[in-house]
Amino acid sequence: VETDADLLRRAAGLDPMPFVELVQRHEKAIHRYLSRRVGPGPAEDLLSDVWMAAFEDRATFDTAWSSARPWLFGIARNRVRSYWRNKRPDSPGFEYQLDPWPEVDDRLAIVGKASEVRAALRSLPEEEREVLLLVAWEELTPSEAAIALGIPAGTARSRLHRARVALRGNLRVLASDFLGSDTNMGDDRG
Amino acid sequence: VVDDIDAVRNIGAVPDAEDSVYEWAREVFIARLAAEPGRDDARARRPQRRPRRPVRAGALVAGIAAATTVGVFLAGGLGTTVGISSAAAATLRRAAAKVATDPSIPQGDYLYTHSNISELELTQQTGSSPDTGYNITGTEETWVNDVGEGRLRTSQTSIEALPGDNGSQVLPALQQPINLTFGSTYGESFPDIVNPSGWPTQPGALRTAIEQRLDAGATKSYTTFLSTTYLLSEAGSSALRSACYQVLATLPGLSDYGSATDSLGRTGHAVGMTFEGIRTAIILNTSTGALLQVTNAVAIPGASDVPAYKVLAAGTVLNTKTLTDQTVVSSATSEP
Repeated sequence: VETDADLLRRAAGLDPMPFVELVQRHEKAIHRYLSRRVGPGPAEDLLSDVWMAAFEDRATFDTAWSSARPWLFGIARNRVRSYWRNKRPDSPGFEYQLDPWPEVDDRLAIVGKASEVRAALRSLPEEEREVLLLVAWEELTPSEAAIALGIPAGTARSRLHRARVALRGNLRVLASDFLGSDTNMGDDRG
Repeated sequence: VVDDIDAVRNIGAVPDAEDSVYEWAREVFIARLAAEPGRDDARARRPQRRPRRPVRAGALVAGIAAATTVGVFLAGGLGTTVGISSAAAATLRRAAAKVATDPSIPQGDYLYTHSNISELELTQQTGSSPDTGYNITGTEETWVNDVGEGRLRTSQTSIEALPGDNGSQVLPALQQPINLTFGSTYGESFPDIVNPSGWPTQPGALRTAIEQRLDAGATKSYTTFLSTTYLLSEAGSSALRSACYQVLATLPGLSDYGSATDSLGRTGHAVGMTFEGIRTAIILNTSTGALLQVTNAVAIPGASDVPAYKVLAAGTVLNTKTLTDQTVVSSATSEP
């Protein structure tokens, strides 16, 4: 079975077929990422944008990475930021909000549960929350999250560590449980 | 013990989308890739000569009348790059099995098929927007025997100028019904209309023959889909119709569109393919395998490389062929 890196090497030429195979490998994961952040409807529209952007940027993929998923999350993240940037261009005094968490939080509120977790996430700095969500929601390792965010792996680990410490500190209801669980702290999961 | 990572994970659970969502995103990606101006790597894969979709005889009217007609020409090319929808292929294979059991047309008899045709013919002179055009409606009748011989009669029932039409005229002589005879020599004068005679009924051989004779190109999935679809709509024998379904089921880029209703209100199942923003869908009766309707419509605005199509809104129907009646008659001149 060809690795993602193999497919992207072949996609560097004139034939887009290998890239479509890559798309089919990761489309569910990328759609989930988008759906969590912008909602299921806009996610459907953004999905093809991600493929287009990834195809255009395929030369930027480091073929030393065997999996393209973290790289694709990075591209998806840029599309999400662009989505939020364009969504409210007419707001008075609007400036690009780096952190779209209020909108994500609004959608999570529909779930109607785990308000403490949402409150704890809301209190985190955006850069720490993003690492945490890539690990928790997208099941990336901290090293892979670093690729998605374009930051050093050590930085990702330290952000994750700070996020988890803060998260546990803010989860009053669940605090007693969390204090007994310190597994995976800063480790690559999976 | 509740892990904090798990606590976060639990509030972020989202269901996977239906397969059609992923297929649609791939289709849009492929269409945009093909339509991207100046994209050398995509254009390098395009055919040197643009094949024409088999055009209904009625469409020739506006085509001849206009100074520069943008016909319903749909290019083949990158439609080969996505996988086959298993659901769509399964639907087509079931239809193939159904029609394969239809009785043969008795010797000397003909399968009479009546269809309603509608066609949006756009013309343009400036290259920026369609400034003339017609909505053409009409009928097509075919009488085809078991080996594909017979005749076709097509008539216009209305020609309606679109708003903004600049006065192009339809030649009166071409408003008369057009009669064509299917046979071994048929096709030289009207190469864009499918000749249903002389086709093999083994699916592999049929696909090869379609790709060669209808200029579909060896790897042009989309144009093969178009050509096979129109052959299916005019084929007489159950063996050929079954083979057409089997060819369609093998084509990369096929999508399943689920339940659909044709222009007569009949419910069926739609499958099809999108290329350069134009979606070709066939609706078929899953109980009998009968073809109900073929429709070409704009799925992705602006994605077509046909200039006049770029300004059309999503959902604009370019043409339809709706099979309204099909019955065996005793001669090529008999009418039910």
